[in-house]
Amino acid sequence: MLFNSIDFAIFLPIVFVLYWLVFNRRLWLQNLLILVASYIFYGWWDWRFLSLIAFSTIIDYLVGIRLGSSKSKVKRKALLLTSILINLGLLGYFKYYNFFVENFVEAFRFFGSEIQISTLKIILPVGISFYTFQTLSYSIDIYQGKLQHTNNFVTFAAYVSFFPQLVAGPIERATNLLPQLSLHRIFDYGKAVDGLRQILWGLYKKIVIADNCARIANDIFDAYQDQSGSTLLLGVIFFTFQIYGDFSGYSDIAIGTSRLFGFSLMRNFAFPYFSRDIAEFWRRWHISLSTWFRDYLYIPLGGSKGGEWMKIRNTSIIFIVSGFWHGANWTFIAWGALNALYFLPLLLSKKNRINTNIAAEGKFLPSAKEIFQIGLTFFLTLIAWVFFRSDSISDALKYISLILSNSTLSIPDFNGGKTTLLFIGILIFTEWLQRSKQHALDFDERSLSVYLRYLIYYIVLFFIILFGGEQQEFIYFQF
Amino acid sequence: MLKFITKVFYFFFLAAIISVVALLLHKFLFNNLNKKHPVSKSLFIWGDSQAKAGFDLSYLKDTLNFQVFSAAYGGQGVYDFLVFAETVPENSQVILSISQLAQLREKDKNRSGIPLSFLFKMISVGYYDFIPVMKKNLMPKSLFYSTSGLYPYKDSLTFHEPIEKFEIIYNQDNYSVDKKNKLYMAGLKKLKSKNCSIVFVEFPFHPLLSPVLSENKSKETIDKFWLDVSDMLGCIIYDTIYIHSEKRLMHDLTHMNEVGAELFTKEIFNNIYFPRDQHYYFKLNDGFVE
Repeated sequence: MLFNSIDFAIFLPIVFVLYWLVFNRRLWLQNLLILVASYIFYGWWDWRFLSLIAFSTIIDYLVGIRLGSSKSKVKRKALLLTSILINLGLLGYFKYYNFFVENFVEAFRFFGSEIQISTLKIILPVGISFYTFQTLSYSIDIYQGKLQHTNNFVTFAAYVSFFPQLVAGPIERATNLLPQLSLHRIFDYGKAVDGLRQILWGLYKKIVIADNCARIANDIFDAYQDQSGSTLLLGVIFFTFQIYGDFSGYSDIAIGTSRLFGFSLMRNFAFPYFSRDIAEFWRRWHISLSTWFRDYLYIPLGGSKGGEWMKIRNTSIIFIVSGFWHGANWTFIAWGALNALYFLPLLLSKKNRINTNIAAEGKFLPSAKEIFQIGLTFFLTLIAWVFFRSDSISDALKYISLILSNSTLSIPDFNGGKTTLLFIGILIFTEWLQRSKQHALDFDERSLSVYLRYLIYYIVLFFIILFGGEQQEFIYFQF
Repeated sequence: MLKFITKVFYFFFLAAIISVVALLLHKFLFNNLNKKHPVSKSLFIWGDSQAKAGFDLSYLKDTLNFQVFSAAYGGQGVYDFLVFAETVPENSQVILSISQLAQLREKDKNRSGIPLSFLFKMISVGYYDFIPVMKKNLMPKSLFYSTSGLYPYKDSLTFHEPIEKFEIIYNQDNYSVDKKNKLYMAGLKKLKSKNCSIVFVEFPFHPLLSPVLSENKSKETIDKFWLDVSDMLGCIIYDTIYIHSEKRLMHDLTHMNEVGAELFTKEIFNNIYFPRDQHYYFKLNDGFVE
């Protein structure tokens, strides 16, 4: 079920009313409702793949119980390995099998021998990269002694399949969400209202920004050879905002929806395009994934405690693996590697933690230096997005070389995108004003009159209704 | 809790009221195409990107002195066709290009709202997609324009989309095509009831697509649709015209370039100058133009 669909607009109020007015007396009933609603939400797309979630849930539930009761180091290691192998095995089979087979065949062909291995014709289950990482974090946390296992299957299954963040994150840690599912929840008016505001802003980002940008970016990327340099630059700018609107919009809706049900999910985006260097960008972009890799890969590998070589190796690994997590294509690996190249100079010169506050803190406008830093960081991410969006590395390189051609200074073909630029302008302006807050409509009710607040809500609502682009699936569903 | 539900209800209730008022104002102020334009010497065109690229509107206006209203847009869909049928004045001269791709594609890029009179028809054939209907009815954009959007001439063919994409479209299990075709029929009935003179045009494809077009899973469905149309309207003349040129006429696999569009438009209007009460069916050289 898509958040930006009529189905969800009907589904959400029904679940909300049942949750707070019918099943509110008993915690286990509320959790059961969440579980059933989550399976309906996911099964709406393709019910057959519910079995995968159920399988992953059962495995990690059992592993969790055994880990909790076992004292033997060898046994605990074996249990953890079982969880890792099964979860990554599922991910590898559905997402990466064809990639490895094709590259294997290609490598043999390069050395002059032909081998025949057939690829699979399978659909990639939506959200598999998200829920497998979520269940993995549960087993790893128990193994590391950070978390007590749960004996309540319904609670655990609701944690794995929690519908607001099931298919595209934020990738929740068991240490954050599971305790919330185990506690009695009381309706919080302020939290629910703020949740609605965040949903509203998420819908603006998805429907007005991402869906409108998608049409133009797709047109330009699909026929990039015929476009001028300036149009190609415009195309990647539109994609840059498409992916931000799409993914952070989804996260906003997910977090807002969770707040309606009394849950607090971790923040996933913190206005990343206002970052002053790449290190800051990665502290603000897809935070739940970056911190997942930091905690479960980077730190176990030794983090930045070793020498220079260790830092370079570990940083490169997490960026490349993070890129590969996004998709089985060399373009994603190149995207990750490029970001590692951006990041390493900062890390090695110990400048990766300079910008830990927000840009232009306490001021309305940034300084000239900050404008330059933000502009440079934006440009670097822009170049990296070309790899992310292109079909192949050669396409990406050609795209970039065409951007840098003589026609870069020509007037671009806007492809009907002038209005979309206005919408992007509204997004940037609003988020800049609210950059110290959790989300763009996070208002302090005492400092803004009720009329002004409602005026803003209605303006955003009517922008969504009137200027929304053609409905598109969320990009991150494919990851 | 109740305070929250009440507030949310009032918020959306007020939004609905604002929407209705805006819709009524819009309809009252802008939706007066019938009154503005005289029917005589007016020509109404409907189609998707093939028609947009294939009709040279300036030729029609300047040479034949037609008042042309084209509603041809890329990805044009069945909602827009229903709006078109509703909007076109009685006794109009109408050219329609309901392309095979318009029938087969799963998602249309409709621009205007659906008239309420067709809402029940839509429900009755099981074609539900209420979000665009609700959204676009709030502030419908004008369906018609009068300036050409032709592709400039190029020596080489542009490949926006690979042939494999067409193979997929033509050979997929398309569950919406029957429902869509029923809605097209509903629109055609509306035009017939308005006593419009209708000409159907099928635009050419590049020969590279001929293997896909001649043998595919959807052929039977498409052929049946045209038989039904023919039965319903009583089409009496079928014809094919041939265009000869030294120059390349296609921009890409499905769209003509400006040279093709000009030749095509000339041929069509020099051959048929719209005798009333006749229905024509045109096809170019078996659907292919080199």
